[in-house]
Amino acid sequence: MSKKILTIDDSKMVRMIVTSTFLPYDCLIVGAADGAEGVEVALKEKPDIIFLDITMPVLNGIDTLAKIRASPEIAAIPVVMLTAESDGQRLGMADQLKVSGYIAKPFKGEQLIALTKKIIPLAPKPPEPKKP
Amino acid sequence: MNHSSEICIESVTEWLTQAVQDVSETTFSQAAYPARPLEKSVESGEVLVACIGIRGDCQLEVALHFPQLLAGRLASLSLEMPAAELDEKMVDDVAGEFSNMVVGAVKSRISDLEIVCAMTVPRVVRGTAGTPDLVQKVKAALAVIRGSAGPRDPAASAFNQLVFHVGEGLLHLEVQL
Repeated sequence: MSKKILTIDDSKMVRMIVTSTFLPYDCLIVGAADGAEGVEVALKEKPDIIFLDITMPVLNGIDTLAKIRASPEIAAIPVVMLTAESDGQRLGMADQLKVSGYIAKPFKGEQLIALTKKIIPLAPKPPEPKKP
Repeated sequence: MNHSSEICIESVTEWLTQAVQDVSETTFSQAAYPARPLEKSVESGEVLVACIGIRGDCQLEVALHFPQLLAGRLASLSLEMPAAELDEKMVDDVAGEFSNMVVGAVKSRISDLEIVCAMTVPRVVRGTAGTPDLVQKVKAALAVIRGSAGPRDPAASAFNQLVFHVGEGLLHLEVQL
């Protein structure tokens, strides 16, 4: 069954890297450019997993995570912090809000896939149906 | 309490050097290494400058100067698009994210010393290298980043300039601690 992945990052580049990383898998990637938009998209799309940046305009990643955890409809969605700030202070704050993992930027696509597979099952993308 | 004095510019330089190499190689598959003193040419032509800072008990600002050609190449590689199809916003985004990852690595090292600090969102400005117009734009961007900390006291600050080969381009960094 296709999985839905939400990437919340103010950088289009990072959102595109996440999208291309999961291209071989049966996934639908949705994106949001800041935390406030990310919460809205999460409520609408109910993704299976969220990748969340920390340093963002409008609503930073820690505050976004707090909002997600405070919204019953999406509170249980696994969240992985995908961030350039991989120090104990930030990760400690995120830990209190029950994150499923961290990936420090810069990251390799393989790291993202490996961690995701530990959290949700990923299946290869089914072959395109042949045109008659 | 301001702990900037507990961190020396040499440590910051070492962390930045490591971070530029990591980011260039991991995200953009571009080899990066410090330029030798004789190679540190003066910048010229059109550049993008990504300004970013660390606020809190440590005050640090970094301005990363990307020649337009280098910024375009990095954007083309990371967005998997031909350079001709990129617009300014896309290239600015890549320069900003490059700076975010580089300074984020330094911020993590500072935080690991139990110094409470946070990183700002990058601000990207464009102009012609060496012109008063660009100098003014960079000053204005850094002033926004410093915010309530106000202008730097040159007597109490440390400055450094670093130059790296990134792929076929030269990346200049100005660091203020």
